[in-house]
Amino acid sequence: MERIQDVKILIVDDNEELLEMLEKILKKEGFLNLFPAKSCEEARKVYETVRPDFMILDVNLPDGDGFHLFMEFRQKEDIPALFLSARDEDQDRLFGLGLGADDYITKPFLTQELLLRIQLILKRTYAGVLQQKKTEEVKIGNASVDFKSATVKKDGKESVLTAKELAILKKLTENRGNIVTFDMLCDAVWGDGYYGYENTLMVHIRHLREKIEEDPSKPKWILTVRGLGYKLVKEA
Amino acid sequence: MKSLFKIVSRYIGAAFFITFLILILNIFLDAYFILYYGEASQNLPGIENVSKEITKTGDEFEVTKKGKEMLESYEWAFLLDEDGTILWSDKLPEDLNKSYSLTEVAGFSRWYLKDYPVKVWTHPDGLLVLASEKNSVWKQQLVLDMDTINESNRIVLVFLLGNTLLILLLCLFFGYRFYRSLKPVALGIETLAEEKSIRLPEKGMTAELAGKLNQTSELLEKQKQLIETRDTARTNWIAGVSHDIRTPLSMIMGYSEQLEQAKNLDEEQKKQVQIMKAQSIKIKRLIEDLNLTSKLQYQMQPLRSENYHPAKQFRQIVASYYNEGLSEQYEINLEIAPKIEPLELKGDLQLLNRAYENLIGNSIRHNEAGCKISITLQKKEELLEILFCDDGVGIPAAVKAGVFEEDSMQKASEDKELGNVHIMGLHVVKQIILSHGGSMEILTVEKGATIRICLPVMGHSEVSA
Repeated sequence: MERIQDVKILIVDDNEELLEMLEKILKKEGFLNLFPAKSCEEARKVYETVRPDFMILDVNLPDGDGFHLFMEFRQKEDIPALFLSARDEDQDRLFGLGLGADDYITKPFLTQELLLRIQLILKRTYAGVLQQKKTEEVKIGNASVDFKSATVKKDGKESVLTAKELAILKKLTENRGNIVTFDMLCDAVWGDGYYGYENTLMVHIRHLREKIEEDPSKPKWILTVRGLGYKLVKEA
Repeated sequence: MKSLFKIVSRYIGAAFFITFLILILNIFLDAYFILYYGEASQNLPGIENVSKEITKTGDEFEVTKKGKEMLESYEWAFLLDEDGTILWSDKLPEDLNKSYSLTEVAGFSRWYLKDYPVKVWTHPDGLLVLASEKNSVWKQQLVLDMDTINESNRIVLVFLLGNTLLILLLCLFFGYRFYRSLKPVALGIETLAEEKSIRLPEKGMTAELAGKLNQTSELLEKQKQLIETRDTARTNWIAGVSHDIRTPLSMIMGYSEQLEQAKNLDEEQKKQVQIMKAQSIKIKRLIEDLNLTSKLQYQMQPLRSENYHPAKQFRQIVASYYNEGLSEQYEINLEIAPKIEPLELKGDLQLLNRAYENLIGNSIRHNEAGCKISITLQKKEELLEILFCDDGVGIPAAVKAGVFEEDSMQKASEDKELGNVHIMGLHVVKQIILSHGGSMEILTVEKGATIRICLPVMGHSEVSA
């Protein structure tokens, strides 16, 4: 498997039209190994022949339910799965997640959201398998960050990132273009809430800016979103 | 049970009161009776007076005119001498005209003479005997020794005490029986008042009462079940309909999203597709609200309480609006007072998120030209106050009124202008906040909309870093 898009995806839903739509959307996104199934029986056959890397399961199926199917497959192999169900009851969602599913999305859904969640699961599961070149070196403006050695190169000068700075920058990079709240950052770095870390976090951000930004007093890349958090601006 | 005890004690009290009243009445009546009839029996002229009117002149006895009149009232009369020989007589029947022995005299002086009730009196010349009509007087001897007469006060007291004791015991006995037989009925009524069903034993003096109560209970039970079934049916129906809409709607949303990204559409077509997508998202939220509101209405949605930090929650909500691509014309400012930062509350985070997203979503939906939304969190005594303000078109008065009326949903459907997402969204918010013990109000402001939500901060723990 070279790319994340190479994963084999089993899609189970009793509605043929929806199945077709999911295939189209995923194909467009670059996923080519798609295996649709309309019932538990079909799903079992597909599973035995192709051994998928990922499953999208509906809960209500004509000859059983997705929960049982999931448990059945999970006993054989620990593959990631996402439930896509019209059941929006909390207990259904909690049950599905409780079984060990990676996500539970209720219909109707935004295709963009579905794709993002699928990618998140796949990245999380198969990050080790894939070459990590992309995340190991990141360009931020004139600076380039090497996460493996925790160093920043800017204008020919090299500076070292502390462990905390590295953790913050990693979190920001993972969510590049999006606001990362103070809480998320503190959770990622200290495993704790924001309260009590307000100043510490600010100091770390200032140090990061000194190492990355051209003019740390007028940051262009690591932006403060007042009252919410920080955002690493996407490369134009 | 308290009320039953009161009833029974009153019953005993009343029985006491009535008995004493009757006793006192009897005493008065007796006294009156004796006085009245005692006088009435003196209608006959006294024997001592008659005796005075009989005088001896020589060997003859003479009766005065007055004496004769007096004798008219008696059946007969005679005068005996020392030896029992009749000296003088008046209207004496033949068979009694004889001499009397000492034994005979002793006998009639106390009792009767040939069934004639007689009175005797000592005349200067012998013994005067006057007879009344047969069967007109009842004679009874009362012999009491002196001690008894002296003790009479005590005896009366003992009599009264004994009576009182007996009455008291009887009252208590009947009162207890009354209490015993009413107890299950009273218990039944109490249980009914707590909306539980009852089944009383139908026997004793309260059998009929118990029967009626059982009937009432059955009726209530049936009605409760009916209402429950109907509520459940309604909720299930709404859940079912919304479930069935989900899959087709998924497809509308999915394909309009795909179309939106298509390259061969012109501007106008792209706009139309965007509208399709936006509207289907609206339907999606509408379904979710409808489902939620029907469940919250019948308390079928349990609160999954967990600890959460409001500050963190709001940063997350607002950040996700920006991250999901908030249009340029909108701005959301979040102000969190320093005191709120360490605050931890208990609540259903999912539901609360839903409520806040509804409010922010309303501001965005109803101000297509854009608006500034500001959210302020501060502590007011033992409350967390959350203010949602925008500088947009504001909330119509009719909506304001509608949200806070009992049957706002019904009203909303009657009033077509109100039957939109706006009121449903606000209704759900209100229900969620209320289920968390909080309050929600729409403030009257000059421009835009301001909604205040207050949540109780009970037993919160200040988390220290």
